[in-house]
Amino acid sequence: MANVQDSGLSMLERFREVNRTFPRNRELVEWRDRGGKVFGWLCTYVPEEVIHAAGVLPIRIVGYSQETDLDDGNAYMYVNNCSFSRSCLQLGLRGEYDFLDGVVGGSTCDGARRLFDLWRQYVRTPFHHVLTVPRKYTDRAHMLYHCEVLEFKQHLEEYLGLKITEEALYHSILLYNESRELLRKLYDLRKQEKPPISGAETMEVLNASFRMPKEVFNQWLADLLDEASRSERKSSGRVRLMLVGSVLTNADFVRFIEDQGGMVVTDELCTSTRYWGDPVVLDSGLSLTEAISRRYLNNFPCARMFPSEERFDRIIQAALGFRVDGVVSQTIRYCVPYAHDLPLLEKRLRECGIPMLALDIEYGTSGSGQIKTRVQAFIEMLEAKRR
Amino acid sequence: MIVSGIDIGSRAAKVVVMKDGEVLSSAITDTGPESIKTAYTAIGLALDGTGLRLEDIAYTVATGYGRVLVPFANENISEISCHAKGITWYFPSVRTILDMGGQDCKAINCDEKGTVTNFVMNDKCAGGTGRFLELIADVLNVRLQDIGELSLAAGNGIPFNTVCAVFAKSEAIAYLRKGVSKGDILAGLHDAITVRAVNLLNRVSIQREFSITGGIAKNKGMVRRLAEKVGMEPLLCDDPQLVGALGAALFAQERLEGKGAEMGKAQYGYSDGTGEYYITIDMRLCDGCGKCAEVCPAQVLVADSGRGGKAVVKEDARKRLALLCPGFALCSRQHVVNCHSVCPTDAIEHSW
Repeated sequence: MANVQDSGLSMLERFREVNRTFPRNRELVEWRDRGGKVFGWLCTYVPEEVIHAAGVLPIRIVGYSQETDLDDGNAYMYVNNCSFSRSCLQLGLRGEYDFLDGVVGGSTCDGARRLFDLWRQYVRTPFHHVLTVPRKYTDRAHMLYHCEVLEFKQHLEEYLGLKITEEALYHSILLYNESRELLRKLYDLRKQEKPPISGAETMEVLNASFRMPKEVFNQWLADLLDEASRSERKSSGRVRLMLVGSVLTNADFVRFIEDQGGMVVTDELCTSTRYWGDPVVLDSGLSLTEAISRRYLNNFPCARMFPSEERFDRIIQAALGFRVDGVVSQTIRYCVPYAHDLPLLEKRLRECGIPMLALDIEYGTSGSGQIKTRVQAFIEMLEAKRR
Repeated sequence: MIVSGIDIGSRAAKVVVMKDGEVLSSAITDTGPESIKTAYTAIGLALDGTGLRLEDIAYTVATGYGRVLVPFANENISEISCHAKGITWYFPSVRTILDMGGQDCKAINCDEKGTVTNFVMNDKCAGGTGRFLELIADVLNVRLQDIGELSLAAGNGIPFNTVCAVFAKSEAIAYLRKGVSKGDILAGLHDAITVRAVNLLNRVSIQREFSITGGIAKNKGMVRRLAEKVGMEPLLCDDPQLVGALGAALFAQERLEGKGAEMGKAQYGYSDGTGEYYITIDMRLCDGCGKCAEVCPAQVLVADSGRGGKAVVKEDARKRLALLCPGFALCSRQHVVNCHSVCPTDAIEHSW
């Protein structure tokens, strides 16, 4: 038949391929074959631009996105460490991140800190650095964090024996800002009544975003956006949902919600909106390093930051902007910052007439029977409410 | 009009068969390891003596943990929605439900129509659920149906600070050895479960009237304690264990009456162990142009002359939809021109 042609998004397959083969994905292997260094970072408060400007490829350290045994991770960590930090450590101990030339963390939460300590002790990565990240937005907090960024830059320069120039920093900022802008456009597509891309597919793109050079990623994403805007593809569901909470990299978990009719149209996750949320503001009269440090501290905040209202306001703004019927919160067990903020968030959402479903999960879970019952009941409830 | 609701729980399978809005028969049986077999056994028990056969049931809604594995069900709905629907049939004034089941416990708020407005559920742990009580009855060597009465007859309850099934079991054994009476041990354990259930209730809002459903609602000791803690006398129906299945049957009835055809949406299809396969056509949007019927490669869509040419799924395709239609995602990849693309009003939706 003449009218048979592929109307799927072919670019999506390339992002999936990156995730499927990571850390042996072609883009990463090619970089290393050319003699390029690769640093892993652990938290969204680590300024990637500084690493990139030093000529090093920053990639994000995450755990297995699927359920897996965490024997080694369990042996080294105390019982109240979250399954995300266990999963990361497990991969480190198994040698899956042996290709890294450096690891950079932030003192963001206890899980991340303990993971960094154990990593430094037991995983042989040549370079280590941890940034102290303040929990407030005061002037003094910003001064402290700027000093931390400068110290990190100096440490990198000494270790690598080079100078990070202003030109290089400027170039890196532009590149990362471009990436953020493209991701924002991707999210804007999902404001449509029937978005051309699903939540699970978006997560595949995001996972790939921190596993490959941004130069290539930006090009691919621009192509995907082009393809998506021309495509006739429509995803539909019974209700529109926003996903919030702890670190999440498992696209299957999102697919599991979407398979039940809950279309995930936006989120508040450190692997997505909280990662690409804000650009570095360049024409503010600040030095480049201060522009970077301000961006990272002021970015769409993690639940660790105080006051929490800043995060709640942003969540509500997104929930309204993307016209969601309800919010699904997923908290990894022992993720204390998110667990403690939850009742406050629920109250704020309730005041706006947005119902919330709270799920307790482990990192890598794709959805068990109990979680399925809750999600299904939540969707049924929202559907009945809409009527 | 005969409909049925089947609730395959973690410990027991429940069936309610309704005829013209009245309960015709019901059955409760143990959930076996094979969900499909359990479903047939349960419906068989319910139909026994009614002179009806499975084929006489016009619509079945499945609920409970085994809801996706009921081969003869037309649809599955979560047990949370079903309990709210079921209890409202008995008591329209109920706003708070505590469903205490075999392996989980749920607190539900609903409105006068039986629509869920809020709910919470206990976490993975089965401590303080029906399974927990079974285990304790077993350790103490008393019949499950007697433990409630025994706990009420006791003098002073032993304080238990755990409802972890494993820890509580060993603690109970230790008390037995010390010569503490079974009644006192049971009283303590019932108190501990009550505290846990009330915590759950506090996470939704406790509003009048209050009802308890699920198998544990048959335990007088538990009901007495909950009434005291909550400060409200719960409304209990004849068999609280059947409320989920009753709710499912009521949903089945609504579907047939067309109420469930949400705001003029007609839904065709089914769900089975492999997934959900529904084509939904919004009858208010469909203008009867008939284009979808022309382009559907599987010819599952036809124009219904009885409804002004509006699109319907062909009758004989409804029960084997997934075999004929590959679903929108796959079909649209092979056919640029498909039912969605030609529909001028976007009236057609696929669930897969």
